[in-house]
Amino acid sequence: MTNIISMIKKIALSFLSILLFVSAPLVLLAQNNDVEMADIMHANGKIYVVVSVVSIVLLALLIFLMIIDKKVRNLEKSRNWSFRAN
Amino acid sequence: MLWDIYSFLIFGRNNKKRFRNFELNKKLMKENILQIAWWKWLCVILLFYTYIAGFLIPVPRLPILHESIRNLFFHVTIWFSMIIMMGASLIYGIRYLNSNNIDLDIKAEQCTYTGIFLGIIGILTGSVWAKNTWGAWWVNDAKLNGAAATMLVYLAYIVLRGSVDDEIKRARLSSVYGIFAFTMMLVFIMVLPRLTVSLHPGNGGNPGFGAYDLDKTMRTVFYPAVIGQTLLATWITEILVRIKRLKQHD
Repeated sequence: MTNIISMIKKIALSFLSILLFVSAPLVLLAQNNDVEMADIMHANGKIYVVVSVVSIVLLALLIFLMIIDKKVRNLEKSRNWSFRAN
Repeated sequence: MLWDIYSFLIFGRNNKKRFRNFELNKKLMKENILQIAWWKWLCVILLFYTYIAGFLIPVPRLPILHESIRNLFFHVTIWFSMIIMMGASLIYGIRYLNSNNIDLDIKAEQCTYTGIFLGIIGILTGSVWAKNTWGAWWVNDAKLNGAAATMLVYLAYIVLRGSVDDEIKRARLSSVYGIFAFTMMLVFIMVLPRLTVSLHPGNGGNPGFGAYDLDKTMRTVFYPAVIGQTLLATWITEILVRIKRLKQHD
Protein backbone atom coordinates (compact mmCIF):
# COMPACT_ATOMS: atom_id res chain seq x y z
CA MET A 1 0.00 0.00 0.00
CA THR A 2 2.70 2.48 0.94
CA ASN A 3 4.52 1.47 -2.23
CA ILE A 4 1.56 2.43 -4.37
CA ILE A 5 1.13 5.75 -2.58
CA SER A 6 4.80 6.64 -3.06
CA MET A 7 4.54 5.68 -6.72
CA ILE A 8 1.54 7.96 -7.20
CA LYS A 9 3.43 10.75 -5.43
CA LYS A 10 6.42 10.29 -7.74
CA ILE A 11 4.24 10.31 -10.86
CA ALA A 12 2.38 13.40 -9.70
CA LEU A 13 5.63 15.19 -8.92
CA SER A 14 7.12 14.33 -12.31
CA PHE A 15 3.96 15.57 -14.04
CA LEU A 16 4.08 18.80 -12.05
CA SER A 17 7.73 19.37 -12.87
CA ILE A 18 7.10 18.73 -16.57
CA LEU A 19 4.20 21.21 -16.44
CA LEU A 20 6.45 23.77 -14.76
CA PHE A 21 9.24 23.40 -17.32
CA VAL A 22 6.86 23.57 -20.24
CA SER A 23 4.88 26.52 -18.96
CA ALA A 24 7.84 28.60 -17.73
CA PRO A 25 8.62 30.14 -21.16
CA LEU A 26 4.92 30.94 -21.66
CA VAL A 27 4.86 32.82 -18.36
CA LEU A 28 7.94 34.79 -19.42
CA LEU A 29 6.29 35.63 -22.75
CA ALA A 30 3.11 36.79 -21.05
CA GLN A 31 5.02 39.17 -18.80
CA ASN A 32 6.46 41.16 -21.71
CA ASN A 33 4.05 44.03 -21.09
CA ASP A 34 6.09 46.95 -22.42
CA VAL A 35 4.68 46.48 -25.94
CA GLU A 36 1.42 48.36 -26.31
CA MET A 37 -1.50 46.09 -27.27
CA ALA A 38 -5.28 46.44 -27.16
CA ASP A 39 -5.40 45.03 -23.64
CA ILE A 40 -8.15 47.38 -22.45
CA MET A 41 -10.40 46.29 -25.29
CA HIS A 42 -9.90 42.69 -24.27
CA ALA A 43 -10.32 43.51 -20.58
CA ASN A 44 -13.62 45.40 -20.77
CA GLY A 45 -15.06 43.04 -23.36
CA LYS A 46 -15.49 45.61 -26.14
CA ILE A 47 -13.65 43.18 -28.44
CA TYR A 48 -16.79 41.01 -28.37
CA VAL A 49 -18.71 43.88 -30.00
CA VAL A 50 -16.22 43.83 -32.89
CA VAL A 51 -16.35 40.05 -33.13
CA SER A 52 -20.15 39.95 -33.17
CA VAL A 53 -20.36 42.63 -35.86
CA VAL A 54 -17.78 40.84 -38.00
CA SER A 55 -19.58 37.52 -37.60
CA ILE A 56 -22.91 39.05 -38.60
CA VAL A 57 -21.31 40.47 -41.75
CA LEU A 58 -19.71 37.10 -42.49
CA LEU A 59 -23.00 35.29 -41.86
CA ALA A 60 -24.84 37.63 -44.23
CA LEU A 61 -22.25 37.16 -46.97
CA LEU A 62 -22.26 33.38 -46.60
CA ILE A 63 -26.08 33.22 -46.66
CA PHE A 64 -25.99 35.37 -49.81
CA LEU A 65 -23.53 32.89 -51.34
CA MET A 66 -25.78 29.98 -50.32
CA ILE A 67 -28.79 31.66 -51.96
CA ILE A 68 -26.84 32.14 -55.19
CA ASP A 69 -25.82 28.47 -54.99
CA LYS A 70 -29.49 27.50 -54.62
CA LYS A 71 -30.52 29.65 -57.57
CA VAL A 72 -27.91 28.04 -59.78
CA ARG A 73 -29.08 24.59 -58.66
CA ASN A 74 -32.68 25.45 -59.51
CA LEU A 75 -31.62 26.68 -62.94
CA GLU A 76 -29.68 23.48 -63.54
CA LYS A 77 -32.68 21.47 -62.43
CA SER A 78 -35.06 23.31 -64.71
CA ARG A 79 -32.78 22.59 -67.64
CA ASN A 80 -32.25 18.98 -66.63
CA TRP A 81 -28.54 19.61 -66.28
CA SER A 82 -26.64 18.01 -63.42
CA PHE A 83 -23.39 19.43 -62.11
CA ARG A 84 -22.33 16.07 -60.72
CA ALA A 85 -22.96 14.14 -63.89
CA ASN A 86 -20.37 16.10 -65.80
CA MET B 1 -34.69 1.69 -53.77
CA LEU B 2 -36.70 2.32 -50.61
CA TRP B 3 -39.33 4.05 -52.70
CA ASP B 4 -39.48 1.01 -55.01
CA ILE B 5 -40.15 -1.36 -52.13
CA TYR B 6 -42.63 1.03 -50.55
CA SER B 7 -44.59 1.64 -53.76
CA PHE B 8 -44.62 -2.09 -54.55
CA LEU B 9 -46.10 -2.79 -51.12
CA ILE B 10 -48.69 -0.02 -51.36
CA PHE B 11 -49.65 0.13 -55.04
CA GLY B 12 -48.66 -3.29 -56.29
CA ARG B 13 -46.93 -3.99 -59.55
CA ASN B 14 -48.64 -1.36 -61.71
CA ASN B 15 -47.27 1.79 -60.20
CA LYS B 16 -45.34 3.21 -63.13
CA LYS B 17 -47.54 6.27 -63.45
CA ARG B 18 -47.30 7.14 -59.82
CA PHE B 19 -43.57 6.60 -59.89
CA ARG B 20 -43.22 8.95 -62.83
CA ASN B 21 -45.22 11.57 -60.96
CA PHE B 22 -42.90 11.17 -58.01
CA GLU B 23 -39.86 11.68 -60.21
CA LEU B 24 -41.48 14.77 -61.72
CA ASN B 25 -42.27 16.14 -58.27
CA LYS B 26 -38.69 15.56 -57.19
CA LYS B 27 -37.54 17.54 -60.20
CA LEU B 28 -39.93 20.42 -59.57
CA MET B 29 -39.28 20.52 -55.83
CA LYS B 30 -37.65 23.77 -54.70
CA GLU B 31 -34.07 23.53 -53.53
CA ASN B 32 -33.19 24.43 -49.96
CA ILE B 33 -30.33 26.82 -49.26
CA LEU B 34 -28.99 24.40 -46.67
CA GLN B 35 -28.57 21.58 -49.18
CA ILE B 36 -24.92 22.25 -49.92
CA ALA B 37 -21.94 19.93 -50.17
CA TRP B 38 -20.02 18.93 -47.05
CA TRP B 39 -16.94 20.95 -47.95
CA LYS B 40 -19.06 24.09 -48.15
CA TRP B 41 -20.22 23.48 -44.58
CA LEU B 42 -16.57 22.96 -43.65
CA CYS B 43 -15.81 26.32 -45.29
CA VAL B 44 -18.55 28.04 -43.27
CA ILE B 45 -17.31 26.51 -40.01
CA LEU B 46 -13.64 27.30 -40.68
CA LEU B 47 -14.40 30.89 -41.71
CA PHE B 48 -16.44 31.50 -38.56
CA TYR B 49 -13.64 29.96 -36.52
CA THR B 50 -11.12 32.23 -38.24
CA TYR B 51 -13.08 35.42 -37.82
CA ILE B 52 -13.96 34.76 -34.16
CA ALA B 53 -10.75 33.18 -32.87
CA GLY B 54 -8.67 35.50 -35.03
CA PHE B 55 -9.75 38.44 -32.89
CA LEU B 56 -9.84 36.69 -29.53
CA ILE B 57 -6.73 34.52 -29.20
CA PRO B 58 -3.64 35.92 -27.48
CA VAL B 59 -0.92 36.93 -29.95
CA PRO B 60 2.81 37.56 -29.42
CA ARG B 61 3.66 41.08 -28.24
CA LEU B 62 5.88 42.51 -30.96
CA PRO B 63 7.10 46.14 -31.08
CA ILE B 64 6.08 47.47 -34.50
CA LEU B 65 3.26 45.06 -35.32
CA HIS B 66 1.27 45.33 -32.06
CA GLU B 67 -2.24 43.97 -32.67
CA SER B 68 -1.86 44.18 -36.45
CA ILE B 69 -0.14 40.78 -36.39
CA ARG B 70 -3.70 39.44 -36.50
CA ASN B 71 -3.73 40.47 -40.17
CA LEU B 72 -1.80 37.26 -40.72
CA PHE B 73 -5.13 35.42 -40.50
CA PHE B 74 -6.79 37.61 -43.12
CA HIS B 75 -4.18 39.10 -45.46
CA VAL B 76 -1.70 36.23 -45.75
CA THR B 77 -4.41 33.59 -46.13
CA ILE B 78 -5.87 35.55 -49.06
CA TRP B 79 -2.52 35.31 -50.84
CA PHE B 80 -2.23 31.60 -50.04
CA SER B 81 -5.65 30.92 -51.53
CA MET B 82 -4.78 33.09 -54.55
CA ILE B 83 -1.67 31.01 -55.23
CA ILE B 84 -3.71 27.80 -54.86
CA MET B 85 -6.38 29.07 -57.27
CA MET B 86 -3.71 29.98 -59.83
CA GLY B 87 -2.21 26.51 -59.34
CA ALA B 88 -5.63 24.97 -60.00
CA SER B 89 -5.93 27.10 -63.13
CA LEU B 90 -2.52 25.83 -64.29
CA ILE B 91 -3.52 22.20 -63.71
CA TYR B 92 -6.83 22.63 -65.57
CA GLY B 93 -4.96 24.33 -68.41
CA ILE B 94 -2.52 21.43 -68.73
CA ARG B 95 -5.39 18.95 -68.54
CA TYR B 96 -7.18 20.87 -71.28
CA LEU B 97 -4.12 20.65 -73.53
CA ASN B 98 -4.02 16.89 -72.87
CA SER B 99 -7.69 16.15 -73.47
CA ASN B 100 -9.16 19.04 -75.52
CA ASN B 101 -12.20 18.97 -73.23
CA ILE B 102 -13.61 22.52 -73.36
CA ASP B 103 -15.13 22.13 -69.88
CA LEU B 104 -11.63 22.08 -68.38
CA ASP B 105 -10.90 25.37 -70.12
CA ILE B 106 -13.97 26.93 -68.47
CA LYS B 107 -12.66 25.77 -65.09
CA ALA B 108 -9.18 27.16 -65.77
CA GLU B 109 -10.64 30.51 -66.83
CA GLN B 110 -12.88 30.89 -63.77
CA CYS B 111 -10.06 29.82 -61.41
CA THR B 112 -7.93 32.61 -62.86
CA TYR B 113 -10.74 35.15 -62.44
CA THR B 114 -11.16 34.22 -58.78
CA GLY B 115 -7.39 34.35 -58.32
CA ILE B 116 -7.19 37.85 -59.78
CA PHE B 117 -10.03 38.96 -57.51
CA LEU B 118 -8.21 37.56 -54.48
CA GLY B 119 -4.96 39.16 -55.63
CA ILE B 120 -6.60 42.60 -55.79
CA ILE B 121 -8.01 42.12 -52.29
CA GLY B 122 -4.53 41.01 -51.15
CA ILE B 123 -2.87 44.12 -52.58
CA LEU B 124 -5.47 46.44 -51.02
CA THR B 125 -5.27 44.83 -47.56
CA GLY B 126 -1.48 44.69 -47.79
CA SER B 127 -1.42 48.38 -48.61
CA VAL B 128 -3.40 49.23 -45.47
CA TRP B 129 -1.10 47.05 -43.37
CA ALA B 130 2.00 48.61 -44.93
CA LYS B 131 0.74 52.13 -44.14
CA ASN B 132 0.48 51.22 -40.46
CA THR B 133 3.73 49.29 -40.05
CA TRP B 134 6.17 50.47 -42.74
CA GLY B 135 4.77 54.01 -42.95
CA ALA B 136 3.63 54.24 -46.57
CA TRP B 137 0.80 52.94 -48.72
CA TRP B 138 3.28 51.53 -51.21
CA VAL B 139 6.94 50.90 -50.42
CA ASN B 140 9.49 50.00 -53.05
CA ASP B 141 9.62 46.41 -51.91
CA ALA B 142 10.50 43.47 -54.15
CA LYS B 143 7.46 41.49 -53.06
CA LEU B 144 4.99 44.36 -53.54
CA ASN B 145 6.24 45.16 -57.02
CA GLY B 146 6.29 41.44 -57.77
CA ALA B 147 2.65 41.14 -56.71
CA ALA B 148 1.73 44.09 -58.91
CA ALA B 149 3.61 42.57 -61.85
CA THR B 150 1.80 39.26 -61.24
CA MET B 151 -1.53 41.05 -61.42
CA LEU B 152 -0.49 42.63 -64.72
CA VAL B 153 0.55 39.24 -66.10
CA TYR B 154 -2.83 37.77 -65.20
CA LEU B 155 -4.74 40.82 -66.47
CA ALA B 156 -2.98 40.15 -69.78
CA TYR B 157 -4.56 36.66 -69.58
CA ILE B 158 -8.02 38.27 -69.56
CA VAL B 159 -7.08 40.56 -72.45
CA LEU B 160 -5.76 37.56 -74.39
CA ARG B 161 -8.98 35.64 -73.85
CA GLY B 162 -11.06 38.61 -74.87
CA SER B 163 -9.13 39.19 -78.07
CA VAL B 164 -9.60 35.73 -79.62
CA ASP B 165 -13.02 34.89 -81.04
CA ASP B 166 -12.50 31.26 -81.95
CA GLU B 167 -13.38 29.13 -78.94
CA ILE B 168 -10.82 26.37 -79.42
CA LYS B 169 -8.00 28.69 -80.37
CA ARG B 170 -8.80 30.85 -77.34
CA ALA B 171 -8.76 27.84 -75.03
CA ARG B 172 -5.45 26.56 -76.37
CA LEU B 173 -3.73 29.97 -76.34
CA SER B 174 -4.89 30.83 -72.84
CA SER B 175 -3.88 27.41 -71.46
CA VAL B 176 -0.35 27.85 -72.80
CA TYR B 177 -0.25 31.44 -71.55
CA GLY B 178 -1.52 30.21 -68.16
CA ILE B 179 1.55 27.99 -67.77
CA PHE B 180 3.79 30.97 -68.53
CA ALA B 181 1.82 33.22 -66.16
CA PHE B 182 2.04 30.78 -63.27
CA THR B 183 5.79 30.46 -63.72
CA MET B 184 6.11 34.25 -63.77
CA MET B 185 4.02 34.46 -60.61
CA LEU B 186 6.32 32.03 -58.81
CA VAL B 187 9.36 34.02 -59.95
CA PHE B 188 7.85 37.38 -58.99
CA ILE B 189 6.45 36.61 -55.57
CA MET B 190 8.49 33.60 -54.44
CA VAL B 191 11.97 33.75 -55.99
CA LEU B 192 12.89 37.40 -56.60
CA PRO B 193 11.92 38.73 -53.13
CA ARG B 194 14.15 36.07 -51.60
CA LEU B 195 17.12 37.11 -53.75
CA THR B 196 16.91 40.85 -53.11
CA VAL B 197 16.08 43.06 -50.16
CA SER B 198 12.50 42.82 -48.93
CA LEU B 199 10.58 43.99 -45.90
CA HIS B 200 8.41 40.89 -45.89
CA PRO B 201 9.22 38.24 -43.33
CA GLY B 202 11.01 35.24 -44.80
CA ASN B 203 12.43 37.29 -47.69
CA GLY B 204 15.75 38.98 -48.35
CA GLY B 205 17.51 37.52 -45.32
CA ASN B 206 14.64 38.31 -42.93
CA PRO B 207 13.58 35.51 -40.65
CA GLY B 208 10.17 34.14 -41.61
CA PHE B 209 7.05 34.41 -39.53
CA GLY B 210 7.55 30.76 -38.72
CA ALA B 211 10.84 31.45 -36.95
CA TYR B 212 9.51 33.02 -33.77
CA ASP B 213 6.47 35.19 -34.48
CA LEU B 214 4.11 32.45 -35.59
CA ASP B 215 3.78 30.71 -32.26
CA LYS B 216 1.67 27.69 -31.42
CA THR B 217 -1.57 29.53 -30.69
CA MET B 218 -1.36 31.46 -33.95
CA ARG B 219 -0.80 28.28 -35.92
CA THR B 220 -4.05 26.85 -34.56
CA VAL B 221 -5.90 29.67 -36.31
CA PHE B 222 -3.63 30.27 -39.30
CA TYR B 223 -3.84 26.83 -40.94
CA PRO B 224 -7.64 26.48 -40.59
CA ALA B 225 -7.87 30.03 -41.98
CA VAL B 226 -5.87 29.05 -45.07
CA ILE B 227 -8.12 26.03 -45.66
CA GLY B 228 -11.28 28.09 -45.08
CA GLN B 229 -10.28 30.88 -47.46
CA THR B 230 -9.26 28.37 -50.13
CA LEU B 231 -12.59 26.56 -49.79
CA LEU B 232 -14.44 29.88 -50.08
CA ALA B 233 -12.51 30.69 -53.26
CA THR B 234 -13.32 27.20 -54.57
CA TRP B 235 -17.01 27.71 -53.78
CA ILE B 236 -17.15 31.02 -55.66
CA THR B 237 -15.28 29.48 -58.58
CA GLU B 238 -17.68 26.54 -58.68
CA ILE B 239 -20.68 28.86 -58.91
CA LEU B 240 -19.00 30.87 -61.69
CA VAL B 241 -18.21 27.65 -63.57
CA ARG B 242 -21.81 26.44 -63.28
CA ILE B 243 -23.22 29.75 -64.52
CA LYS B 244 -20.79 29.68 -67.45
CA ARG B 245 -21.86 26.11 -68.29
CA LEU B 246 -25.54 27.02 -68.14
CA LYS B 247 -24.82 29.89 -70.52
CA GLN B 248 -22.97 27.58 -72.87
CA HIS B 249 -25.65 24.88 -72.90
CA ASP B 250 -28.42 27.39 -73.38
